[in-house]
Amino acid sequence: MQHTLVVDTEGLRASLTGRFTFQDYPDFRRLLNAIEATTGRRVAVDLEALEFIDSAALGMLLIANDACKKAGLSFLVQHPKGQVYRTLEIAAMGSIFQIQQ
Amino acid sequence: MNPATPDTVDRAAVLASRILVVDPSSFQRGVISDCLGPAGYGNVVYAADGCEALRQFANFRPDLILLDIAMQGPNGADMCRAFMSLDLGSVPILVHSAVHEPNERLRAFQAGAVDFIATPLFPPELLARVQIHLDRRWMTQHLRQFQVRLNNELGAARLMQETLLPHEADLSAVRTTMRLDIAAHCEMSSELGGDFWGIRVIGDTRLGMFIADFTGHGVASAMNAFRLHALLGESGMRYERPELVMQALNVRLAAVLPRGTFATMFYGVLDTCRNRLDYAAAGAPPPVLIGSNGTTTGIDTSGVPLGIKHWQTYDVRSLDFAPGATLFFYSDALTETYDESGDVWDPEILHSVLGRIAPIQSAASGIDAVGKAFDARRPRPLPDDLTLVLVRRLNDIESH
Repeated sequence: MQHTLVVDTEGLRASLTGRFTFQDYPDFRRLLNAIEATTGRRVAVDLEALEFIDSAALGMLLIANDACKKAGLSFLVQHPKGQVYRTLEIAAMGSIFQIQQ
Repeated sequence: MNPATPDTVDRAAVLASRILVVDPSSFQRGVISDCLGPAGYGNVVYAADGCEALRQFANFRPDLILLDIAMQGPNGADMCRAFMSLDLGSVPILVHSAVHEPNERLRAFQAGAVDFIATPLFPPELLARVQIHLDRRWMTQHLRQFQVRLNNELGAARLMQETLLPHEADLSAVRTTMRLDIAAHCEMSSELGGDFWGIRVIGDTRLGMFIADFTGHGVASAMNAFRLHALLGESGMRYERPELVMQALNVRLAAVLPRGTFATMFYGVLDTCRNRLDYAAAGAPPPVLIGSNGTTTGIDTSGVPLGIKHWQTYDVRSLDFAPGATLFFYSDALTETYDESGDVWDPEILHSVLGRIAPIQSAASGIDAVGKAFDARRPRPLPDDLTLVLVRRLNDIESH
């Protein structure tokens, strides 16, 4: 998985590409550090270009959601497609954090 | 100290190492003895020629060999080759010589030597090189012992984990009493796995069946599978009420699992009198009901996985499950493992594969057919644990 971070007017936007799996924890830590350092009001994770997510990576999104809650930020997942959409849907992640199509 | 990578070697163990010195010169043997003895190496034997060296090697089993490359008769390179042919393993051979001809040194290295020391010997250099190679050997052996112990322990843990799964006798009993033909295939991606499936007999006519999968794989996931097994065995568990089983497990797991770790689960109760399957689901991969005519129906398993939200509730859902029909459930490795071409089974492909193998003659043959279709061009070991389970209701005309 690769990610790019952009600071916009509302906070932090992370765009993920490729395959997000168990092995991406070190990269995810960097994303988490950026979340913890953000001074905005919300963190948006754009999954439009993400091809695949496994359950361990879903766990990482939950950790990011928790980190945002602790920091008083809103957490938003955007534009999941294909397998990523199906995985979020089956795990009812819409009841845990906001998913925007 | 990490047992796999100790910070320091055991100095006493290194000084007790067995050293074989092969040197035709009694003067040189004396120099080496005067060097090794005072440094604390007390386990040294000497050989003056090749024959004696090979005899000593067999009896003494040295940890390190110091060899004069310019011996008469069999030369140093010959001796190196002879030692190597005796299944030397990782015993380092240090050669020394007054001959500084590069090709001579090269031949010794090609024959298996690991280091070269020029003579006249400079005792501090000799000691330093001996110590480096003995330290390295000690570290390697230490690591190897750790690896062997770890493999033994993982092997024992794996046998324990296999006992959590339904036994042949359990499956045979429900075949007789409830006319259910059940078969499964489990393949772990490493020594231990986080997949777990099972059955619970409820009275004479109902059977609880479940599959659970913890995030990740390996030792931590396997320990969570043991945890789930223990929780399922708690007294007061209402096996006939899928939604209550799910809620009870969720509350207990949410109290102990770290954030980011969870389990997906499907738990169903088949009532063989009412031909109905009541189930609750926590984000498990959607099982497929295969009709006797080959139609396939995906089952809605959407739900928050176990261990994420403390007070999550789960609904009970129902579907018809008549004799002749088959329920197929599985872990996510089936639909998340890419083949060599970069293709993966999405729900459509899975349904098409299951439709093609229908009508299913037996649960075992069905599992075999799915396994064969999946195996094609998929790399091993798999990136995640794979579990496949088929539960087939026998028709009235089928024998026990």
